[in-house]
Amino acid sequence: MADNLETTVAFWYLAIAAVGAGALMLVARNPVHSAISLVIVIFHVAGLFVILGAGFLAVAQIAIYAGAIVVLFLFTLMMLDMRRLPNERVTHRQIWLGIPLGILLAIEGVVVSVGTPEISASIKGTFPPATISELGGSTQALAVALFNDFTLPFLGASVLLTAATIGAIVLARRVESHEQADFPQAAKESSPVETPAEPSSAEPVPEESAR
Amino acid sequence: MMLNGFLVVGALLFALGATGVLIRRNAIVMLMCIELMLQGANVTLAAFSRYLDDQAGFVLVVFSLTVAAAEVAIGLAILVALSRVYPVVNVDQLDSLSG
Repeated sequence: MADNLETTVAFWYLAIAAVGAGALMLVARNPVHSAISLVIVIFHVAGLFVILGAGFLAVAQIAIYAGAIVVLFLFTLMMLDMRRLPNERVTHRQIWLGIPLGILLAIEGVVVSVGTPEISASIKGTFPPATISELGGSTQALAVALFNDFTLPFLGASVLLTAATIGAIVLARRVESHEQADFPQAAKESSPVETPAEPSSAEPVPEESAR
Repeated sequence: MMLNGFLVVGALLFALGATGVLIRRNAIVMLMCIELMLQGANVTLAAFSRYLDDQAGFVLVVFSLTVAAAEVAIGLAILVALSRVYPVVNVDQLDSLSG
């Protein structure tokens, strides 16, 4: 992927749109609008992956993030019934500390990024573009690296996903007697919310297994 | 050089996500901001992987996607379980451990 004109224009569009949608996500009052902004960021970052020559990552990004994670966010927003929640302020009182710290972090990151030197040929890896096209494409090259050098982490990731699925099922399960014994007055307070939450308590499980 | 551009995008996305975790009160939006930080890290990993002619960064992005999926599943399950006991998602009100 040479630094030609089309790539440069596409890069600037994707970069500005991704950062702009990320900023919109912070200022949106409605959490659903934040979720939609997150989808926009995800699609534009997938475009950046395409520019970087990683088409498989772009598709995986859209399938996993936009298809599973954001849908899970939206399901949870639906189940938690945001209209019942007090929504007068969306930010902490610590906003006057948080925003300067964020700007400081952004300046620091930009300075370090701009100051990154040219990569010399001596530290380049073992997958130059010639090798990648010899293997048949970027997806094949990714598979060669994933299943040769990263086999054990790959198996570990499957264990992690199994543990996360089991953990989510256990956490989202209703334990009636235990809750009311531990938090008698809190359980009484939450009773109006429990009724709409109950039929959907089995919802997250198919979500997880679909992933 | 394009590498610096990708690194700047990654740094800005990470900084936006960190700012969001600091300033937002809604726990679900805070989880979304953590996803934004992961996106910034993914852009940086993929850019270095491309310009270093190495596949390790791309493979790490795959693992990052996996960990993000697991983290969101557990985080949202914790919020659902928490909302049965305390029906708020405002983190300022979830202070019963602060004594």
